Amino acid sequence: MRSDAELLRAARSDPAAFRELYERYARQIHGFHLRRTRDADAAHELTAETFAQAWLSRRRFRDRASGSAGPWLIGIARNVIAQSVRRRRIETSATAKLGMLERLDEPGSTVEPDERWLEGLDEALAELPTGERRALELRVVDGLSYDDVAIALATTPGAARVRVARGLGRLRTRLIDDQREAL
Amino acid sequence: MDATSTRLERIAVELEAAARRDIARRRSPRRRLALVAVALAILAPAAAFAGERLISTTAADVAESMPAGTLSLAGTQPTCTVVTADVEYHCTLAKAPAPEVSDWKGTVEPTVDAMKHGERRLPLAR
Repeated sequence: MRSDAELLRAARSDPAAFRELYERYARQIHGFHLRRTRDADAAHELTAETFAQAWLSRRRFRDRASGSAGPWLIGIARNVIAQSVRRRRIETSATAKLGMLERLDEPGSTVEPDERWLEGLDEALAELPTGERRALELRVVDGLSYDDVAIALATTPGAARVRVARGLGRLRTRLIDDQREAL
Repeated sequence: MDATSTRLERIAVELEAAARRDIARRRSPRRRLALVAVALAILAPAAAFAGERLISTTAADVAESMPAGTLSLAGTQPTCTVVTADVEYHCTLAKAPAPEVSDWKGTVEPTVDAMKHGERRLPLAR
């Protein structure tokens, strides 16, 4: 089975590879949005927007999480929520750009994004043990090498790698729980 | 299949279709570039040449000066017509310019006179 990173590499010229990535994460991303918006229509629109943005920026993906695109997609989903709240309307710029909006022919959401959607947005990360959270932030968010993460955390590259892997594992579990809760 | 699965599946179908359209659109940059490049107007504001005359005064001289002054225009086989003598020329490129330059609007291109002395900078506008 191809890793997420391999799928994204293939997706530069192969839409089917991107669809395979979508199939892997659609439920998680949808659960992420539904948990925050508590609105089925909004959650679907935001899910479509998240993957549309991911498609448009797929070349910028950097494999910093051992082949997983999960943190990268969650980061995009988080931004889509934040953009929606800031503009007080569901963000649809990427779906519109790709010509998906009218084709989806979905019932448009009537909810207005508000600040509450942002609550708990980073709670999954915040709940991680400090060492794992810092290692993940340095590696995934800041894009440091494991050598540099190790220096920043005053540990060895091997230990830094273990912390990142554990943090990713916990995040994955948390997201699956979120999804179950949302359904 | 529940309602959520149905809707997520629909997004999957539309996303893949949109991705195919997006790739197809991006695979023809040279064609788009050629369309952009077919008509360039060379504008030489009189104020920029106060006190001196543009050395290349004929449309043919201007056409010849374009590839001479700008490497990216080499091989484009421009032909020009006078819009306003010594001020504005309308030039058509028979071939698209170097593909690394995708938008020529508003760029300033040097030209070289027939004697290869010095250069003049002419703003290009689409």
